[in-house]
Amino acid sequence: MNASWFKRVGIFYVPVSLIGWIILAAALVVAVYRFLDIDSRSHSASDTLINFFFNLLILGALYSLVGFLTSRKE
Amino acid sequence: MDSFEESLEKMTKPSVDKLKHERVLSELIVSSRGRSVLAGWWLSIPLYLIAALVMKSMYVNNSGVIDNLLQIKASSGLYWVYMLVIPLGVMIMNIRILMVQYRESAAPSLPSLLSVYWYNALMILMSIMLLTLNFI
Repeated sequence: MNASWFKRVGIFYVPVSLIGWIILAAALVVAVYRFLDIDSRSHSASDTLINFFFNLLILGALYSLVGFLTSRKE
Repeated sequence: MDSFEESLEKMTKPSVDKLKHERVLSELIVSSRGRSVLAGWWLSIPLYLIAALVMKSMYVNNSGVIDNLLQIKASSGLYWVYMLVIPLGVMIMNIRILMVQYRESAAPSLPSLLSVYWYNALMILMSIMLLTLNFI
């Protein structure tokens, strides 16, 4: 893929184009939605955080995959 | 004729500031860093799962890590993705990175290779650890 939507900074992929920012915003919206969904079904704060962090890792892995495939090679 | 001899004395050998192989190597290193970051993100999923099971076994009475793992294996269809597909993929990716770097760096000694690519070696070790948990 020749598109460069992201730039790798350390272990994170930072958007460098409009599509990249849209993807990051979508990922954040999904993360907030997942947090509210898990929080509504969990019994304690630790229960929420343990389950949410697992979901956040999966989301981060998928985001980094998109970032890796579309990042600028410098 | 004298001027020709003088100019010959002033002549120096042509020098190349940057070797082509140096550029290839730097591109390979940058590319392998990106792959390592990607592999790290994916490997964090099964590692977090194991860490959560360890925490659970510490705080819940009469519960062990292996028992919890077997429980997840029986109940979750994604178990094999987390505990087999991801570690296997990460292991293959990192072995490939090390092999390419070893070949392109003109076969350096193992300690010098690992001093630069210790992160990849660590991920291979953790992948092997996760894969062995499937056989318990």
